[in-house]
Amino acid sequence: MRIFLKSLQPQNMGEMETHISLTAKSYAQIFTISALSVWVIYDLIQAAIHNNSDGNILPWLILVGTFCTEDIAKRIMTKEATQDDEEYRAEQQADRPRRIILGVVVVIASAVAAVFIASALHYAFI
Amino acid sequence: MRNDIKKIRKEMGIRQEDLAKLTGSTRQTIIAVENNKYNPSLELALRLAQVLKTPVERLFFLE
Repeated sequence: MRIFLKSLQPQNMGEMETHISLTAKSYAQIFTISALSVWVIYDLIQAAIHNNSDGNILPWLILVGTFCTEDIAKRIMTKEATQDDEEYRAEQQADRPRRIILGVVVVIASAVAAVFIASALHYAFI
Repeated sequence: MRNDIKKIRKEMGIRQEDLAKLTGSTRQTIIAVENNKYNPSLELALRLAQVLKTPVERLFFLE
């Protein structure tokens, strides 16, 4: 997968070209996220005006997918960059139970918040 | 490229976290640089040399 993704990048990029490419990609990402956000808001307004619940879930999914992909990719790459350090690995192992509990709490809280927000939006616009 | 940052840091008794703070970076960056997973920017390389009181040419080597 990594080789495939790397093959999509232009070859023979020097340091400056790589930096420019990364900066340009972040601008493109800002554009995409802004466009999707506008699409979501437009859909909500249309649903409120026409008083129907046939909203389009696609922009929501793409937005959430974008943020999740970025977060997961960052975590994986950071873990790969730091996994060979014995000192750091020992500390992470010692801290593991606390991080698992914190992770479970965050997932449950996020699910509760998502259900609450979805219900509030449903009753607000329907 | 490889480096002797870990060796010199341990000789000076500096922790990774402290080195990160002194060079204005994060612990993860220092770990990645020490383990040759990431090549630092010129600025970071010079800051590391300054903090570890070692010339850059003695910190980093081309393989």
